[in-house]
Order: sequence, then C-alpha cells, then structure tokens
Amino acid sequence: MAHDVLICERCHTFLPLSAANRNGPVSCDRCSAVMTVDIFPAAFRATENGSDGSVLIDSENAGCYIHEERPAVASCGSCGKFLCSLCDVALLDDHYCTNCLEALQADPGKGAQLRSEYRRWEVLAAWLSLPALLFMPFLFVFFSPAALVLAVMGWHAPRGPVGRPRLLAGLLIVAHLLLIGLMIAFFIVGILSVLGEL
Amino acid sequence: MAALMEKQHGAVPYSRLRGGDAPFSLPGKAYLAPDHLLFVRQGLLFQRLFRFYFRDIEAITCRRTHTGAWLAAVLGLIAALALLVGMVTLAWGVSPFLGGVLEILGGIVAVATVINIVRGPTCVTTLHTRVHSMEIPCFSRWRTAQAAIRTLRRRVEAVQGSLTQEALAALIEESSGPDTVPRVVVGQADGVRRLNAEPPRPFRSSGLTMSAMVLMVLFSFTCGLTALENGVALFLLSQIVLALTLAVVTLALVRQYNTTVPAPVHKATWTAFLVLLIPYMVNALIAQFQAQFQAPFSAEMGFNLAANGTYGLVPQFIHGFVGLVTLVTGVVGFWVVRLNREQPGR
Ligand SMILES: [Zn+2]
Ligand SMILES: [Zn+2]
Ligand SMILES: [Zn+2]
Repeated sequence: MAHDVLICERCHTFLPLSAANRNGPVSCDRCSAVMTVDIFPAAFRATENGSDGSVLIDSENAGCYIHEERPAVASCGSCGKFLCSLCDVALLDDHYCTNCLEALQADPGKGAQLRSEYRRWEVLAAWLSLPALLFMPFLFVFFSPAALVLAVMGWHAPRGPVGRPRLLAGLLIVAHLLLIGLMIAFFIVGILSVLGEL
Repeated sequence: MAALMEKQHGAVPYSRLRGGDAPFSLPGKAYLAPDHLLFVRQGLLFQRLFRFYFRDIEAITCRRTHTGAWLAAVLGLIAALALLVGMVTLAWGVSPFLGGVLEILGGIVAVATVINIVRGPTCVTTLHTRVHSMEIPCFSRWRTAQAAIRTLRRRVEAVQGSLTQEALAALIEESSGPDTVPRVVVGQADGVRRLNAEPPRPFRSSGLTMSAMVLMVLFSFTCGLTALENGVALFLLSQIVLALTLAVVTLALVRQYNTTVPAPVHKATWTAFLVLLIPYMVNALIAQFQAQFQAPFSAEMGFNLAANGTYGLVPQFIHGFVGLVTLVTGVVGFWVVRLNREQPGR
C-alpha cells in the first residue's frame, strides 16, 4: 500500500520515505510537483483471509441454519440465527443473514446507511426548468408540466442523508404552478379577445 | 452508545467539510460523520454516496496542479479581449447593442477570473482504501483542501493512531518481505485517476484526436478568409467546418474517457473543445440577435451577420482573433498528440 502511494502522481517516480507524514508539503525531486502524502496504520493491516467452505461440523459446535453440516461462525444480529462463513454478511460492525440484510436495505431508517444511490427527480426538474424559462412561450408548454411532475416525484421520493431536496422540489412546484397558471390566463385572454373581435 | 443510536435510527449527524470545488468537474460535496467521511456526487438525476470509514482510510494524497493558473490565464485573456472589443465597438459607434453585450460578458468573465485567482492554486486529492483509490473533486483548492485534510487526518488518527516517519519506515521494511504478495491497485500504477473501479482501456484513438487538431487548423483558415473577405458563402463554410470540428473533438473526448490517454493529450483535447465552444456560442448568440433585430424570419436568418455591412468591422475582427487562437491551439495540440501518442508495438 505505502509503496503505491509513495509515487509522484505526475512523473511516476518513487518518492523517498521522508515525503510521507511530514505535516507539510514536499516537492518531487524530478518534476518539482508539490504534494502532501499521509499514510495511516490501516495501510499495513493484514487482509482478513476468508475461510474455506469444506469444514465439516463436529458434535461440539452449532451448525448453520441453512447448511447444517457447516459450523456456525456468527449469529445474525437481527434474528439471531446461526450463520456459517458462507452465509454471514459482516456489515456496520454487525453480522446479518441474507434475509435480514434484504429487510435492512428496505428499511428507510436503518437501511439509509447501506444505501448508496438516490434518485433526485427535483434536480432533473430544475434542469428542465432552464429551457422552460429561456424559451418561455414555446418550449415551456412542454417543459413546465414535465418539470412540475418531476418536482412532485422528488417531493415524495426517499431522501438521502444530506441536503434539502424538499426545499428545491417545493420551490419548483410553486414556480411551475405559477407559470402554468399565467400561461392559461394568457390563453383565456387571447381566446376572449379573438371572440370579441368576431 | 451514540454509534448504536445511529444504527437504530439511521440519523447520522453530518457536517459539511469544504475543500474547494474543482473547475470543470461534476458537482460533489463532502460531509463528516462521527465515524466516516461521506462524499456525495450529484448527477443530472442520480445522487451517489461514497462512505469512507475512518478505520479504513489507508492514505490521503494531495498534489498541487496548474489547472487554476491556466484557467485564470484563459479567463483573463477572454475577459480582456471582450472588454477591449466592446470598448472599441462603443467608441466607434459601430453598434451600441453589441458593445454593451460584450462589455457585460467581459465583466462577468473578469469577475470569474478574480474569484478564480482569490481561491488560490488547484490540487488533486485522492483517498486510498484497501479496495480503491478515489479522487475527491470537492477537495480541489490547495489551501482549503489542506485544511480539510488536516481535519480528516485528526479524525483518522483518533481511530487508527498516528504513524511517525520512523514507525512508517519500520512497517514498510517489514511489509516488503519476500512473501508479501504485491497488491494490484487499479489505476495507480499508470497514474490515471478515475472515480470508478473499472480499469482504464488502452488509448487507441490518437488518430482521431490528431484529425480533430487538423480540422481546427482548417477552421482557422476559414476564419481567416471570413475575416479578409465578407460573404455569406464563406461564413457558412466556416460554420460547417466549426460544427464538424466540434463534433470530432467531442468524439475524441468520448473515446478518451477511461483510457490510458496521456495527460497532455487529454488536456490538449479539452483545450481544443473549450476554444471551439466559445466562438460557437458567440456566433450563435450574435446570429440570433441579428436575426431578431434586423431581418426577422428572412431567408438568410442567422447568416446575415457577414452579409450585412452594418456590423462588418467587429465580426471580421472577431473572426480574425478566433482564427488565430484556433490556429495556435490546433498546431500545438497536433504536436502534443504526436509526441505523446503510444508507439506502435509498445
Ligand atoms: Zn514528479
Ligand atoms: Zn437474520
Ligand atoms: Zn450457511
């Protein structure tokens, strides 16, 4: 690990050991690129070896709840079932069986820590608002209702752990409702004036 | 106890950690939690979360780059030019409208230049864990990024303990014994920094990139001709070559994505793209306004810029300058690609 990091990213030459953990920048001898390198003890932690799948149970040990012939190495932190090394999923300082893992992922509270992707419809709505506003009279007829629908979807969608998606969604909903209202008003006025001329 | 509570309710207290945004990068934000750094990348629709637990961070590297300086130079040049041309236009009474637009645009770019200079030099910050190394684009201004790294280092050391240089030397000595299996770090050995774990493909489209540069030179010639001789046909020709060149440069950039493309080639292609984008937008803007204010819905809508004598001088000047910049970029870019392309059989 340390070897991979102690390389100048710019000219690819090895850096001396003194370049790391010096609480300040160092410049590369060859290309004079300025950089800081911090290496932590985790870089030297031994990789945990996975256990093999062929261990047979003896009478002393408990067996896995799915694979009766394999010894249990952990118990599920949620339902307490015994798990062998194949079934055990170590996550967030705990062990889970696959059923509980799926339940955990679906859980909006606890599962939030496992979730790594959210759809933010309101961001797409904000981008769609741009052509709607720039080309007001024409494209707006198509983009504004689409942006409104997306903003409403964003309002209801599950939220990530940071940011204020409902603020943006709310603003967009109000703005596009106003725009569509204005458009309808203009349309009615236009029709009335045409009727008046007739 | 606090950790248990968080796990029960999923409400992790996050505080924003600022490190300066990268120019020309996808928007991203970093947050500190009690036990991890959360990096959030927002695309058009998807918000992707990357959690770096303090116990898993193996190294943090940060390298100062010249991107900011180049950006300042390019922006400054554009601002100075726009302001100058705008002033000449206003002083000679050629077109108060065009002069005003140029002054406003130049002013905006000048403000952007000043902001860029104030924010200081740029840098590339990479977090390394056992499974991958990831560039954090929101730690991209040297001063703020270094402050963020100091905060991060305190948090990581609180969990893992700190390493003195002596301890580090001993550990490296120990770990480089004969029975140590070398670990493959994707994208580290060849210096290619990427955000995903997919290994980069070999870069094989140097021909395409060189064609783009040749097209740029061609476009500069059509620009020069338009600058010398006004005419709808020449203007049309330069527009067609511009569109074609822009398309080829874009294609070259797409082909370069996630490949082992040498950094100078990649930078030259991006420069070409930006250099082309500006005249493209300016042309579109001018043509749009001319079409609206002079000949609405005429047959030559959008193309009466060169045909119309009223604005003859300024667009000619603009064409000359654009031609010059494109010529220099194209020639330099061509040689950069030539010198950096992969030798056959290597
Ligand atoms: Zn170097
Ligand atoms: Zn379970
Ligand atoms: Zn099992």
